[in-house]
Amino acid sequence: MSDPTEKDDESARDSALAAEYALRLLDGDELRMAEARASADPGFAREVAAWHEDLVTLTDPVAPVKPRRATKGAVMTRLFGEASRQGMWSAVGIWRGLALASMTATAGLALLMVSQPGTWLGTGTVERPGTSAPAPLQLAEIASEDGSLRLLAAYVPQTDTVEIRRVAGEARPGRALELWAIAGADAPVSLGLIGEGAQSVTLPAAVARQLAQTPLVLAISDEPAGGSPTGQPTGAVLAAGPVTTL
Amino acid sequence: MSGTLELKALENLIARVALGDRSAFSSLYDATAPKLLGVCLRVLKQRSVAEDALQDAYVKIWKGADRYVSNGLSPMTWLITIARNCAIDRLRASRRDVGSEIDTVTETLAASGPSPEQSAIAGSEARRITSCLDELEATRGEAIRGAYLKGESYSDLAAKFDVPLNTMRTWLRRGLISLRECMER
Repeated sequence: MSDPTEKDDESARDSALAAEYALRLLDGDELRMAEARASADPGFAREVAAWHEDLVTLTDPVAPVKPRRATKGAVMTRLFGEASRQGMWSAVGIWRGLALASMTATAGLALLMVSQPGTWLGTGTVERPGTSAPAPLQLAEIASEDGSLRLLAAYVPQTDTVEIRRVAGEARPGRALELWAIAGADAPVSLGLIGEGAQSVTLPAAVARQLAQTPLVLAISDEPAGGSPTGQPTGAVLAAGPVTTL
Repeated sequence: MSGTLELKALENLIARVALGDRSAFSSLYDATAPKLLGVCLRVLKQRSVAEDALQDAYVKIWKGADRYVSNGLSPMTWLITIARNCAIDRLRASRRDVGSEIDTVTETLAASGPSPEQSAIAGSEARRITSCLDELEATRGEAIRGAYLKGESYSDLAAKFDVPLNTMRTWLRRGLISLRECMER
C-alpha cells in the first residue's frame, strides 16, 4: 500500500470513477456505490465537483436559445399554482365580489361589464347605458412581472376609497408591503401598508383629484416592518399596475 | 462560463431564491433559461421535450436553492448540471423506466460536496479540459464530449463506435485518466 505508484493508480481510478459518476455513465451497483461514496467521502465528493467544473466548460460554445413564453408560465404554475399566472380578466369572480361588496351605485354596470367581457374587450369601447350612468369603474391590477405578487384594486368614487384584494404573494418575514399611488412624474404618495385580507384605503384628496386627470399607477414596494421610514419607497418596487377606466 | 450575469449577482439571486423570493426566481429564470435550454437541446433534439426538461430544471432549482451553498459548485455549473441532469432524465425515461435511480443522482449532487473554499481551490486549478480533450485520441475525446453534451450512455457509445460494451468502458476510463493527467500538468 505504501508503493507510490499503487497509490497513484488508486487515485487515478477514483478520479475516473468520479468522472463517470459526473458524466452519468454509471448504473446499477456501480452507481449506488458511487452515490454512497459521494455522500460519505468528502475527497471523492470534491473530485466529482471538480469534474463538474471542468466538464461544464464544454457547454461554453452552446448557444443560448430563448424558451417559449409559455414555459416560464408553466414553471410558475407547477411551483406556485394557478393563481400565480391568472390574467387580470380571468379573475372575474373577484371583481364580481368587489363590485357586490362595495359599489352599490355602480354594481349594475360593473356586473354587466364583467359578466360580458367580450362585448367591450373586443372593441375597446363601451356603450354606457344612458345619461344617468354612474361614474366609470376604475380598476387596477397590481402585479409583479412573474405574477408571484398580485393585488386587485377598485376605486369607489362615492367614498374616495380604494378597495383592495390580495390574490397572490405576501411580505417577506419581518418586512411589509406598502402601497403607493404615482401620478405621472410626481413623487409616490403612500396609501399605507397592505394587510392580510380585504382592505379599504381612503385616498388622500390630492390623489383623488388627480385620478380624474392624470393616469395613475399603483405600486407596491418592499419596506421595513411598519412601512417606509422616509415617506418615499425605500425598498424594491415589487409590483405595479395602471389604474384603468372601464 | 458565459453567464449573462456576473458571478456575484447570480449567487445573490440564488441566495434570495433560497429564501423563497419569487421575483428573484423570475430574474434568475430570465437570466439563465436561454443557456439552460441550449444545454437541454444538446441532449434532447426535440424542442418541446427540451422545454419540458427546462421546466423540470427550474422546479428543481427552486426547490434545491437552499442547499446550493453547501454543494461547492459555481452558480452556472450548478444550474447547467441540473439542466443537463433533467434532460438526461427525460432522454432515458423515454427509453426505459429508470425511476428513482436518476433522481438520486441529482439529489446527491445537491446534498454533498466540498465547501465553497474547497471548490474555489478546485476552480483556481483551472484545468483546461478542451485542449486536453484535443490531446486525446480523437475517438476518446469525442466519446467524452458525447457523454457530457449528449448524455450518451456506455451502450450508446458502444453502438456508436461499434465496439463491445466492456471495451467501451475500458477505453473511456483510460481516456478519463489521461484527461485528468493532462489537466493536472
